[in-house]
Amino acid sequence: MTGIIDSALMNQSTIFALPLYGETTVTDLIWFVIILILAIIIAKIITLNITRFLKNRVPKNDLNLISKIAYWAIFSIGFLLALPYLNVDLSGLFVAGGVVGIIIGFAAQSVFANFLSGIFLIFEQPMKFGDNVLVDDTLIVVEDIRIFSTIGRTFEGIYVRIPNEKIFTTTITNYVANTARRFEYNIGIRYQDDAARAIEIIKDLIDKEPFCLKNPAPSVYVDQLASDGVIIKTRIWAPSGVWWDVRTTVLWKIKCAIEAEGMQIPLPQRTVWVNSTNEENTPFIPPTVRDKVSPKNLQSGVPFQSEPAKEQSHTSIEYNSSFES
Amino acid sequence: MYGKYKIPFEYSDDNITLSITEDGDFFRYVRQIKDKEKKEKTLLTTENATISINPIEPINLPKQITQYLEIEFTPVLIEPEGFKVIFLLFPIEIGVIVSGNKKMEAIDIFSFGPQKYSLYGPSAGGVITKCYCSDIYSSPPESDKFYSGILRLEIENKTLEWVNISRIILDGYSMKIYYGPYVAMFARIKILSPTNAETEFIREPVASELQNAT
Repeated sequence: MTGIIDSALMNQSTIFALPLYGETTVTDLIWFVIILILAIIIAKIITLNITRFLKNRVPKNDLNLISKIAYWAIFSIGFLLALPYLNVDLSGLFVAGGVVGIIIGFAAQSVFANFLSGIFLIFEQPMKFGDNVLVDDTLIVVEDIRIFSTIGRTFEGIYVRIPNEKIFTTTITNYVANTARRFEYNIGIRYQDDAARAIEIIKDLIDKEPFCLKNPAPSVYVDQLASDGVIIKTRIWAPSGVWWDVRTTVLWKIKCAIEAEGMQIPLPQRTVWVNSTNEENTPFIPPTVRDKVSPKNLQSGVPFQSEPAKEQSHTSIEYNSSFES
Repeated sequence: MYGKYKIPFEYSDDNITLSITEDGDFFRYVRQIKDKEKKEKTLLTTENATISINPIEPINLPKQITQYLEIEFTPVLIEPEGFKVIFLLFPIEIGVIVSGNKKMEAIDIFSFGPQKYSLYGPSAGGVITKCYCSDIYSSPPESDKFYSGILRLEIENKTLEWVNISRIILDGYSMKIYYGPYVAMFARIKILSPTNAETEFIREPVASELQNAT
């Protein structure tokens, strides 16, 4: 029995050791094929996983390109690893490959940088389709994230293509990445108006607005006793998807609500005093002092006061927000 | 108002007028709520189409930006491993749904109540919720079926600690609303840790007199 097995092994080893051409044996050929098959299997598994992972993250064309590049890169590595079993001398190929690689590297430096940046952006995901983002002073709505570039549209409807390398190396401000965002108004009222009542009116109005979020709660307070009036700061949180609509509609409602209660938005006013005398030594008398001085004693310093524009409803509300759409 | 109607039809009460009238070859849908804007729509259909008016998930108005309903209530403290049933009120939205050739489509959604949104969680990673404030009741409260429904909520504390709860977040996509003399739904909240709980809807009417909303 043992003799039969030994002879079989002898026969087998003889077959496997047979040179096919040069020093290449059947065993070498089998190893070559096994490594190629393993490379194909690994490439298919990795490609499948890449496809699944990126399915909803990159456009279909780019996905095909990425999966093909990954497949052939892995297959090429396997092929190069298997080639020594066929006694192929790779040193010449590596030298030639190195030289060609350097040339291609210099020639296609930016293309490769954009490609790599695209891959990193796909994994990092600082923005999604439809997001409002500021990339290097360009405000766009993201329409497509491709493998070499990102396509956007400005709010004026202009097509913008930004190379991925630029996006990857610059600051990106994504205005809608978070669920909610805050904006604020500075609302001015006159000094004679009741600031507490104004705050109450603004809070009531915000409370009735569906998209002004209940939590985080809005914040309304007297922020400044400014030269022209009392400034009420109003901070409101809104869902990121609708914040611009809210910001543009609520302000006018606040203005109308305040004016409906008899309050007014203050206008900048200035009192001009005209000195009508030529006497150099006539002292200037400010109005508060003038009221207490008898008219007889007044020799000069006739004031001219501009008419206060009380009836005008022109708004002096300031916008304070980092984003204009 | 709730129920199924053949077109043309007309409904009117103190607050609302709803009608689908024939206008030549078309059908004209008109909804007018007191002191609110009129809504009109033209339907290109036959008299075989039917209209269902029933309460729907209250997450559509004024614009569908979330799937979550948040009900805030007076904080309650539940004992370790405790089980209790409470009743809350939830807001109602009313859907006017047209059916024809075995397909349904909402032609109008309206509500008589106020709308308000809120943020649950941090601004980065939290979710927008449709927010509603309710008192808590130990038995089903009185409610106007066109304004609010009754939520029967089972609270199960699976922890070994006293737990304080003051709000519940419900997923509108899995809501099961029933209607009849009143509108109701049935939900359960399992408190798994002092900071973690899960909610689910129970697909059975609170009372046999209620029917499933479309």
